[in-house]
Parts: sequence; structure tokens; C-alpha cells
Amino acid sequence: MARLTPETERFLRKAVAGLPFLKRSEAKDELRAHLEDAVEQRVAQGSGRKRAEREAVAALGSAELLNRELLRAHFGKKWPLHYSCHRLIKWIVHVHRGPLAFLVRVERSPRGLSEDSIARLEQDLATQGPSFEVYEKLGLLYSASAEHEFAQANKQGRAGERERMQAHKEAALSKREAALAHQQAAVDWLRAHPVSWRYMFGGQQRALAAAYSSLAGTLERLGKDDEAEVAVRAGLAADDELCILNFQQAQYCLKRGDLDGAFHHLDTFLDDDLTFGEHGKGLLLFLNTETFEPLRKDKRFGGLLQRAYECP
Amino acid sequence: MLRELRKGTASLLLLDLLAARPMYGFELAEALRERTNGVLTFKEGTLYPALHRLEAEELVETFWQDSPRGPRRRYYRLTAQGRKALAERREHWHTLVEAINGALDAGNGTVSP
Repeated sequence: MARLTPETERFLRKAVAGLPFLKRSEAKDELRAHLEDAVEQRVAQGSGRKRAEREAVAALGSAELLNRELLRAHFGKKWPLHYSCHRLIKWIVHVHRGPLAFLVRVERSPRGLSEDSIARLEQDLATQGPSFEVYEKLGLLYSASAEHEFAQANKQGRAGERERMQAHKEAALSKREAALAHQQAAVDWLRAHPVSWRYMFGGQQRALAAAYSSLAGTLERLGKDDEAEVAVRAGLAADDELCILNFQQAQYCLKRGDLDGAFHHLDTFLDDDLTFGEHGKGLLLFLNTETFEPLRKDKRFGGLLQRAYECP
Repeated sequence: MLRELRKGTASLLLLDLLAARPMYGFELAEALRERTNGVLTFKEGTLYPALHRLEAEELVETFWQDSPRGPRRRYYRLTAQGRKALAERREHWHTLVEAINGALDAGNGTVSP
């Protein structure tokens, strides 16, 4: 079955926006299956694939209308209220830059704050027992603290302090391992327990996907690329719209020379305006790096740049 | 008027099609087109909200099934409540059609000045 174009995937996401999470994913898969059938039928009748796909999407009508009718079907007369709440929550999340704002704040904090927070959370873990929230925070803090140790190691290396450099490097590696252990624990916890009410907005699947994303990031930094990709795939199986996972998967696609896959995941990355604000601008910076070099020769690259530039 | 009539008949036709066997969205769209000889054409996009409404009313239930050719599909099948609703709606429909036919025949196509 041929993959649908990014435009069609965008149509699908628009059509199911605002539906309850599990229903949204089901409705999207159902509409996608419908389009794939409709495309195959038109191709069998002699249409070109691109034209067949355009016509199949057009036959479904406008994404906005379909979205409104689906919301009405699921929420009845209260659909405008649900729709407004969805838009409002999106706006609030956008303003606060999503869950990783926490990480950004930690990275900018003086070292002592991370260490104090780690000590406090380790204490919570010992006294109150395990929970997703504590595992997740510890994973992020250890990860941020490990990066800080690496920065210190580099600084000492430049100053010719080889012993201190080595000490920081060892501390960094040990903190990365600690981050990995807590991130794995966060994933295991989420797979066995319901998510707390604080994560209800994204729901269980999104929280699980985000936990897999953090785990994959640490695995990659530890040089365990194969395991990292397995974690990214598991995360996408939980929630294929989470932007950071799509960004990670795009890089794996590029490593394999799968340009279609890379464009598909970067396009999905730009569609997710729930998790980050200004992620389009961020992508523009990354697109200039060597990793994304193979994309630049492709004619779709201009369109991707334009979308990233226009992304809110 | 025609639009309203079409909207009301969509759920009746869908329930009727599903009475024979479980079907998935694309299959239902094709069957609707065939059965009504193109007279009642539904925009494909209106089909899914209608099916989701029937599911919310618990008149149909869904299940996913892999297909040997093509994508995995979401099938709809009638529930016991759906069969009951279909029988009632069919009866209402026949009563309505008889009443309209009766009224049209009585008027005999004459238009008062």
C-alpha cells in the first residue's frame, strides 16, 4: 500500500482534530483506509496515483466540514464547547512551550539547582514510592546534569586540567546511565499504570510516547543507536503525532537513505503545534546541519523550508 | 427539503445495509451508490459522521479486521438495539411514504388559482 502524501496526512489530522485521543487515532486510521481504498480503485480505473489521491480527498469534502460533523457526532450539541476548549488548551500549551519547558529551565539554571532537585526527588522516590512523575523528572534532571558535566569537562580540557576533565567526564557518563535507568523506569511505569490527572490533556498514549522519546535521546547519546530507534518506533506506535518523535525518526530514515520517510516525519513534526511553540523556527536551524544534507537536493526541500518558516 | 430528506434517510439506509452483514466505510459508500442508482448521492465525508453517530447511539458496534489486500479496516455491525431501531424506522418510513402518496393522489396534481 503506497504511502499517502503529506498534504493528505495533513487533511486527515485536520479532519479529526479535537476528538477524544483514542477516537481521534481510530477515526484517522479509518479515514486513511478509506482514502487508500479509493485511491486503489481510481488507479485500477486508469488514473495516475497523484491525481487519484487528489480526487479521493476531494470526494471526502472539506476537512473543516468533516471535522465539524465528526465533533458533532461525538459531542452532540456541546461540540462547539469542546472545540473551543481544545483550541484554548492548545493556546495555553503553546504559550508555555509544552512539557520540555521544564528541561529548558533546568539547563539554564545554576548547577546547584539540578543537584538539589535530584536529591529532593530521590528522597521522594525513597519515601513515597515510585511514580511516573518522579521517574520522568529524575530522567530529565540527570540528563541535563550530565550535559552540564560534559560542558565542564570540555572547559577543564581547554584549560589543560586533564584530571578534572576526566572526573567530569566520568560523572557525566554515570549521570547519563542514571538518566537512562529512570527513563526506562518511566516507560515501564506508564505501560503498567494509568497516567495521573496532570497528564490527562495529552493522555496515556502521549505521555508514553514522550517517555519513549526521552529514553531514545539518552540511548542515542550513549551510542546505542539501534536500541534508540526501537524506542522511537515504540513511541510512534503509542502516538504517531508527537513532534519530537517524528523529528527523531526522520533522522533514522535519513541514515537509511529513506528520503520519503524523512520528509513524511518532518512534515508531521511541523503539524504538531500542541507540544512546542516555535518548533518550525527550531527546525530551520537543524535543517542547516550536515544530518539533513541529503534532503537539500530534493525538490520537496523548498516546500519544507517554507512550511517551517511559516509555522507558528 | 431534499437535503433534509437525504440526511434522515442516510441512517436508515446504513442500518439496512448493515442488517445483511458487517461492512466497512468504503464498502458502504459503494453499496449506497449502487443501491440508490446514484439518485441519493452522499458526499463520502458525511458517511463517517453518520456512522459515528450510529455508534454513539449504540445502534452499531465496530471491530478492526486485517485485509488480505489493502489496509486494515474498521467494520460496522448492527447491535440488537440497532436491529430494533431499523425495524421501527422502516415502519415509520413506510407510513410516511404511504401518507405522502395518499396526499398527492388526493390532490391529483391540481393547482388552485
